[in-house]
Amino acid sequence: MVNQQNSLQVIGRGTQITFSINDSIPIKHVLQDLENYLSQNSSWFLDGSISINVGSRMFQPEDLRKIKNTISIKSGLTVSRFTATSTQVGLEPKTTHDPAELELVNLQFQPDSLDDDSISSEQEFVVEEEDINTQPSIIPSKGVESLLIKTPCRSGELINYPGNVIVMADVNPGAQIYAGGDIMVYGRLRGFCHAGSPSNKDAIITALSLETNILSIASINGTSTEDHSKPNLARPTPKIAFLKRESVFVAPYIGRFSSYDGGTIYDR
Amino acid sequence: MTGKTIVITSGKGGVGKTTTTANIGTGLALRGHKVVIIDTDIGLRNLDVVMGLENRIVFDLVDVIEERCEPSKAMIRDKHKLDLFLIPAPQTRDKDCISSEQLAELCRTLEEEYDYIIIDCPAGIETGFKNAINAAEDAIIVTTPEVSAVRDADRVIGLLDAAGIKQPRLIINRIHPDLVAKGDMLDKDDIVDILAIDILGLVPIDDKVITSTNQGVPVVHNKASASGAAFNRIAGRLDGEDIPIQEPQSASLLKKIKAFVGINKGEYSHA
Repeated sequence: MVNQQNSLQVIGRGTQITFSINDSIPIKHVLQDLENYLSQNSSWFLDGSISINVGSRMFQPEDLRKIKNTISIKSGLTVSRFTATSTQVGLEPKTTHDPAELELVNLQFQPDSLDDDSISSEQEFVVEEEDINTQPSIIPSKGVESLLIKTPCRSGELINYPGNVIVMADVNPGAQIYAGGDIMVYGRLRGFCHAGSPSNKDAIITALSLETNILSIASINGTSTEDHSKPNLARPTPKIAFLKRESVFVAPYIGRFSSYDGGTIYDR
Repeated sequence: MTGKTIVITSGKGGVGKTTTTANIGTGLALRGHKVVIIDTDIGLRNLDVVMGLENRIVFDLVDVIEERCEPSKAMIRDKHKLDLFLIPAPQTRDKDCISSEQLAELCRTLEEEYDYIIIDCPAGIETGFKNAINAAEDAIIVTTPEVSAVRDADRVIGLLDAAGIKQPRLIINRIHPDLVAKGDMLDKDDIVDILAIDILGLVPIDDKVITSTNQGVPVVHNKASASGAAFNRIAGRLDGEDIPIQEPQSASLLKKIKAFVGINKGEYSHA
């Protein structure tokens, strides 16, 4: 589920919830929106831990503590980690934690990490400062953030995310992924993927093994009747799907996106 | 000593949840543990039949939950006088008559006295399923080597994950060694590849499961049978023993070897 507020975006996946805070809105308004949101939706949340993505904003430790307190008082959730987005790359949220902890799912429960002292939060924003100093003029455009998923997307799971979605596992039959940007599956893609939802025609879908018979990009569906029941698992070919002439085309994915103007149409 | 509550679930019906529950419960009791098995399939009970305790039922799960009797009154002791007790489901009510909190509370009470509480989950992913998984801290997924069962297992693993049960383990039931050898049935590796969870055990298809179910004696008592031995190993693994996973062997291993080297092609043709 994705909830869009003015300054606040709430993305839930299973028991894991991410709050994403718009960079350009003053902290006062963010806190106000957060309070409103939580008091309207308090029945959603029982208890658990959440991570917060603050975009490329520079927060003072006091502000972070305010956000943390607001959330824990209004909802009973515990803030386990703050993350920030790099303004340069615009890819996955960046933290100073070990890269292995980037995983949005499987969050480690760290209830006291901010209570002890402000070191951890300050450290996180040292990185941010450097980013902002070197590239002060770049403002992250909408839809460039990425959701990194490291557990399999299982049947019945629905992921709806305005940015890119990267799955470092299989997408099983019955799972559905809707992304505003690209979808990259580092595994077997057997579920349903809709990249560029609803109207981004530049979006692509890549998969190490493409074993689905329907792909959607922007508002266009590509279907194939190929039999995927016995795929060549010994030598799977990575594939890329893209839009050309208002149709979904699929080509072997060799690595450089700019060279994909060939391919075969994904259609009967 | 505090016990552990394990739910046995599958999503799809007819894959052997109830048989597995009876055999794992009996297997753990045979190893000297105090075990309670709870049938939560309210309205469609059959764990009592599989255990051979059908005609001893006086009180049931809903009587306990609605406090018409003490839990101990509804607990039926196993025929073989093991430390194994069954709380049967009522046949005349439906799944909405208990709440997940009530079931969880019962399990917490039982955990104080028993080593293992094993919940037989109903098929499907509705109320009965939710009640059963909310009461448990651990889960065992039962599937058969069929695409439909594996698909449902995948869905259930996702739902368990959302409910906070992160590491369910998998039992693959009714494996046909011959079909697997010919490549006509999903094998262990195919299923693990899709589901991405750890295997707890592999159970071959075995006629003795049917005969023993009809007699009301779980097949785990018969250690000479292929399936009984498999359930014994599963109970051992649950107990913390390090028992390697054994692939079910075809009875006609020699024939397969012959087929592999090209003799006897008429019978085992790979075409």
